[in-house]
Amino acid sequence: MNPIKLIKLEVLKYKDNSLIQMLLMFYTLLMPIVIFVLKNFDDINIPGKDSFFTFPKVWEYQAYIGSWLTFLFFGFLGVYIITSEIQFKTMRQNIITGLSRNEFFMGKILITLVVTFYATIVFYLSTILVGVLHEGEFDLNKILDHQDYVFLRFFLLTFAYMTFGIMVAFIFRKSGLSIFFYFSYILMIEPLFRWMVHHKVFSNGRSFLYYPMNGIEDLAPLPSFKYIDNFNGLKNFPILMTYTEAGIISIISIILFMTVSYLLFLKRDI
Amino acid sequence: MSHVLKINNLSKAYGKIKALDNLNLTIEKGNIYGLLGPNGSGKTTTLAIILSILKADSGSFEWFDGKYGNNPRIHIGAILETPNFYPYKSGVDNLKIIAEIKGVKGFDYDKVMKMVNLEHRKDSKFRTYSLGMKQRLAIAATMIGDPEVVIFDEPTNGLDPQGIAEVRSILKRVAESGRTVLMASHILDEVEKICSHVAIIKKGKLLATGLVGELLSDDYLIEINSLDQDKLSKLAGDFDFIKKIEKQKDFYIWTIDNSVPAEQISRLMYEKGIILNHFLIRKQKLEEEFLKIVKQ
Repeated sequence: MNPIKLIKLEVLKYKDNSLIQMLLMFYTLLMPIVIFVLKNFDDINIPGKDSFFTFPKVWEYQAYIGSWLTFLFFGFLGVYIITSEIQFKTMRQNIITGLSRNEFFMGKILITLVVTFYATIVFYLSTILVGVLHEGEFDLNKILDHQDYVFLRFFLLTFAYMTFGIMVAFIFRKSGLSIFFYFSYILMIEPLFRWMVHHKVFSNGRSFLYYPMNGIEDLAPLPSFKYIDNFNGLKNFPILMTYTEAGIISIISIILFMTVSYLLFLKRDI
Repeated sequence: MSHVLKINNLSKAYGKIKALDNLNLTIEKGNIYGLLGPNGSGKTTTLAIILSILKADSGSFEWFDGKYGNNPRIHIGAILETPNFYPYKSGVDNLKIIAEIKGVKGFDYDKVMKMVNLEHRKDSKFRTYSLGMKQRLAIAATMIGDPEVVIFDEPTNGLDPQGIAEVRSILKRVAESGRTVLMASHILDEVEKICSHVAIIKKGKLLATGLVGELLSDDYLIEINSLDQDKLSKLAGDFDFIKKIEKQKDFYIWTIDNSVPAEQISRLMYEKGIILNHFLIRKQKLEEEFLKIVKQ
């Protein structure tokens, strides 16, 4: 089955799904709105505050906010599109009906790419909207200046969160357990291991930065880190990776997530 | 091509439990094949393997003499265990997904929904269907793409008597359409009524295979007794139509050739001066044969 037909099949499956509709709607509404919470901090002295809404810094702040939204919404979506098919036994029925395992897997990756592209477009357009509204003018040069490949970075981080969710779903197969592990790994397991085991026990150098989730997060870090990086003074290297390093780690991680997912799906009974 | 399916030495174990043990089976085109066996005999495991849901530990199978390559399932319509559809989508929308996978365009959904008596509920969400409706939708799904082979796994499981009657009536129509049908069931009556051929399996082994009429013969049993048991016993030895005699505690069980009706036997006893105090026609000959094969 060709890629377009596989995407069409996935759209057919999910177009009546109220959970997915709500997820996409919430993301689309929240993406341009959340940053305005920072308006409440106008009286507080936060490093870099002046640039929350102006180009080019608005790209960084919006990307950071967007990374949290994609971590929450689209990582969950990655888990859902696999565990729901297992729970409803429609994964099995799709194969019985005539889809090969390769086609089924490819369909999931393709729809993940489509959703990632949509999420990135929403991020990009909403950031332009926020910046233009604040600055009161549409200056294309200003908009495009110093983006540091933000479109690509956001695309990568969204795709990475989704493929991580997909991998976790293939490993655990149950939605509750998968979601629990997804959040636990990102918020606790990897950070704790990096700081308490790797950094303290194995190495005092930069290697403890080169972990999947850290790489993904550093594609759109909290911009304030650059202003308050005391870590650099203590350790002689910054706490943040460069965008290039983060990009490489993220790409390697995505390949790892998809490979593990594919092998599990291919080998296991359905 | 006359074989639609060839299974060669298929084996599958779940840990220490051997679900299939060197199963061999060939299904010819146009046959209505019953896969008969008690619960846990390996019927669903067999179907799951030939539909590529499970991987066999050893052995092989081939559909349509390999004509359709690695993915012959486009030409097969199948239900395995429970009907599996997207609960938030309507009945007809679920069928559209099946059609999309099979690459079928312009399918007449109204016609097939009418065939399974679901035309009035085609736009209702699948999660609102009763079990009988779900089974009927699953049967409708097997028809999409005009498959060469249709597979049903325990299609009347869990249904009430009305549901069972409805589903069997639909299955008979499917069977009469000229397709090759493979139906797994533990209900003898169902297999006898619908199928032309039967394969009996137990603990993953094939015990017997052949025409339903030959394998599960329609000789019948009677329970018979008289106050003069000696005379009855001697007389029984003179009749050719009695194929087998078993002595029970209070009566004899005679296996009677189907060509001799029970009333003729009753009349015969009267003519020979034997007064019967027990005479009962047993309609479960089929079950007796099945249990006999399975116990071997």
